[in-house]
Amino acid sequence: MSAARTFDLAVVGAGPGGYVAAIRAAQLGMQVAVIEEDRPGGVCLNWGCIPSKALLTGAELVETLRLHGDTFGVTPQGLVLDYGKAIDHSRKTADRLCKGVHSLFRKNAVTLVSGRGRLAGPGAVQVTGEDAGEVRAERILLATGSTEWVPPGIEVDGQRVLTSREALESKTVPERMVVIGAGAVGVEFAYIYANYGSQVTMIEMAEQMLPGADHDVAATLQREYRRKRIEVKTGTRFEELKRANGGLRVRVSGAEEAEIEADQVLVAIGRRPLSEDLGLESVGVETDDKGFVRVDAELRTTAAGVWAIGDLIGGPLLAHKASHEGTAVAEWMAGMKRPPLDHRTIPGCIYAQPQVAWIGRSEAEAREEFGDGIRVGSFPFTASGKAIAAAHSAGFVKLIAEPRYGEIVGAHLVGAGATELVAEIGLAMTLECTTAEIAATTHAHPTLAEAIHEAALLAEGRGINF
Amino acid sequence: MASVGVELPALGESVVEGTVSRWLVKEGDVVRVDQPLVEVTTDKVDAEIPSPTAGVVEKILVPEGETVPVGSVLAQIAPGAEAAAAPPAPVEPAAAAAPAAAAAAPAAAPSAAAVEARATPVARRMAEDSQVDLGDVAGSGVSGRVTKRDVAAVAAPSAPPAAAAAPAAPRAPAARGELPAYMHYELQEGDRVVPMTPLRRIVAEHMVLSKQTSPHVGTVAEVDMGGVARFRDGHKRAFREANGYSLTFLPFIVHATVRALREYPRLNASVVEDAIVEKQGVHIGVAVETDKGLVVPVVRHADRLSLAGLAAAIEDLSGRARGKKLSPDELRGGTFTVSNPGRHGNLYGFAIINQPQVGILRMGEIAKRPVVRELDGEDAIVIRPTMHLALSYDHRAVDGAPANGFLHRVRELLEEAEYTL
Ligand SMILES: Cc1cc2nc3c(=O)[nH]c(=O)nc-3n(C[C@H](O)[C@H](O)[C@H](O)COP(=O)(O)OP(=O)(O)OC[C@H]3O[C@@H](n4cnc5c(N)ncnc54)[C@H](O)[C@@H]3O)c2cc1C
Repeated sequence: MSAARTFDLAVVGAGPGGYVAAIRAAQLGMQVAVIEEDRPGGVCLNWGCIPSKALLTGAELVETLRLHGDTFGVTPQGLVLDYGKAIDHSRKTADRLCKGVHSLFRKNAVTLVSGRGRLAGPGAVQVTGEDAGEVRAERILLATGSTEWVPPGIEVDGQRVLTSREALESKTVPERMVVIGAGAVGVEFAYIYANYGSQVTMIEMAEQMLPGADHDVAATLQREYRRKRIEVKTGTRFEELKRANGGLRVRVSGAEEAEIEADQVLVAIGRRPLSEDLGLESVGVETDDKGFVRVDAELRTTAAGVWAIGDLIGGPLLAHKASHEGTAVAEWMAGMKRPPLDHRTIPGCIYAQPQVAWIGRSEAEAREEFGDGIRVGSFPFTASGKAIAAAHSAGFVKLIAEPRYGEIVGAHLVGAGATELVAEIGLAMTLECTTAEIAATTHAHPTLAEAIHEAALLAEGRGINF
Repeated sequence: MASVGVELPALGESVVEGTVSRWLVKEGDVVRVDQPLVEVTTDKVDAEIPSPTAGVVEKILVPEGETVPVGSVLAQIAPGAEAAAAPPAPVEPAAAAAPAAAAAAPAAAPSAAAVEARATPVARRMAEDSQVDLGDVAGSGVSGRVTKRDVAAVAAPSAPPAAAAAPAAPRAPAARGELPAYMHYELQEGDRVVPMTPLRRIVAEHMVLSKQTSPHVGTVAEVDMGGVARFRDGHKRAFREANGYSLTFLPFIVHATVRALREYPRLNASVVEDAIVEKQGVHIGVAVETDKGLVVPVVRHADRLSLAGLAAAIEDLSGRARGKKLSPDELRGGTFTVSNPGRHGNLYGFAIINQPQVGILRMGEIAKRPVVRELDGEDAIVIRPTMHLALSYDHRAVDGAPANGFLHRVRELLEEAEYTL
């Protein structure tokens, strides 16, 4: 491709934000080009959500056999673990879904331009690489996502020191693994490695795992992790990584001054936006001090004709947030009237066991906003028939309603199935439901979803099963 | 759906009760939103109370002729969904022969449509609370659903800055859902939506009405309060000991006001149709802040009272206003209002006229300020306690000259400061 090609919309980055926006825009009648330097699907599909979930499934299977096999009379003799096979499965899964995105592009007549994109003045994107040349478009959408943030002083070598990116291709399991950071990525990888045989130590600077999550949720998760013999050091600060004759030593301070020996270290303390070297200055797109692109309520950047979505603009760094924004931005570009974005209804999920899911405000935030009159209904899975039968009785469902109308303003779940269950609350919150509507809905028995029903009843002070 | 109570709204800031004069519907009647249900009489207005919702009149709780306080539930309405299923209203024998359902259906249809507007559960509850008809609200939610922010935008159009006493006037139906685009506010993340209470809405309506009715003009005087302050300082202790409450500045202001009003009767007036009625009695409303909002009890025949008499009357009324122990009579019949926003009144401000009066005085903060005085034939800067007194007047009734003359006279009286206790 050499001569400039002109489109109605040029999307830079084909992650869950960019590819969804491209397809939606095409559905709305725009001629769309997507510029992607790597593989369509972005981090999510290739190096994030999807492959990590494939590995988690394996880890969960191991845990179930070890912990509960005997309960159900399934006693594995000489359980053989081959982590490499799990990695192979995860790569195949990613490949398959990546092909899926290709075919969705074909189906919707979206043009994929392979190469690296860079803004080159109003309405222009300069592409280098395979399909080098200029792409011109009246509208430009930036969706370049984010990448691992590694603190200075740590050198990621892909052998002993990894980020999630390297870990997703690494077929061996170390004897001793230190995970720095107990956010979503750290919590999931700790679970994977622990079940495939590593002695895992987690280091978290905040006073709880999953900083920012509801306290009860974090406390339950931490208790369950300790039961799994995953060591969790909260209130502990990573200071230094030393390499010593073939091994690693991680020096920490805070709750404990110590050096922890490790064979591998996974760095999972955050991500940074890919906003450098994008030519933002050529049109006047501004970023905040962390490099996230600034946007208004309808996702317009500070430059006319340029929008941005997904990890690049900050907020919760989640694939479904990126996709939701992708749909919205395409509709706004097309002049459609649609409800405003509401970041309060974006669920956050962790897919290790026990699963964690939350949406809306934490109990502390709700108390702050609505006062002590908030209604909280908390139902433990130890009181759920289905959870006990499935030998998954850890955790609870907590629903929070504001005092005036009983509108649901937050939900926090820990336990098997939590990430699926939270969808009901998402729908309820989108439709501005109160605990009364959930209470009035018949939930099938026996299901884990009954816990949500019971939590709603408890919030109204009329629980039946607890 | 739970039934909705039809309450007696406060038909004016100073109205605390009303008499049911005539029921326009019977139990079992199917009613539309805003359909007049009952005629109520108060000392100020005769009003029809509209139905807050579509539905069926379940129960009439207050019989004709009975007087009840504001906020009393007059009737219960079972909202629309049940309207069709409700027992048909007793009808004339001829019509009764027709199938009951057919008779009820046409009446029920419009109400059912209104109730079935797509709205979220919270929006429904909010609409009920703030008496908004969902049918009037454009939905911005999924598939055009009415959301809480849509209801909030209709229920709470930006209220005029309430500066002073609420004027009492008949309740006008607020023009809802017809705001021009530039008056719309898109809710932002973190905004707190406080639906207006019925009382707040009435206050808001009265503020708008007063501004629409009376062309407000303002004038401000700087008053040297030195004489008053000296007199007050000299008597403060003894007064407190003798009476058990403090001698505040307010009685002094009222004292000067009533004397000036007698000289300028045009300020003690009302516009009645094509005439200006100058009133014989001088009854001063004093705005008192209570936890339920602003109340304006009236000192009757204030011009007949001495300074001490005014102090006693104001103390008595404001004390009982805070304790909610005022009788309706004590809230009516003011002919002029004095508003004292207290220590945080700032330099000055213009209050909104309490209809149907034609003037209102608002006190600014009394503070020591440098002023120029002639001492022994020389100009000198001296420090005096001063206060800015702002008069808002209705230019329909009052021209600049009498208004300025009046305010100037109030100032003179305060600066002369000739009092006895
Ligand atoms: C290990 C891991 C697990 C995760 N698990 C989950 C999960 O379970 N659930 C969840 O919701 N989220 C998860 N996430 C987060 C999720 O992956 C991101 O939020 C999501 O991918 C963001 O989407 P995006 O479209 O904004 O950007 P990305 O997915 O980062 O996509 C950006 C794309 O742009 C391309 N690109 C960048 N710069 C250029 C350029 N200059 N020119 C052309 N192309 C460019 C990149 O190659 C990439 O393909 C996980 C992340 C990680 C790392």
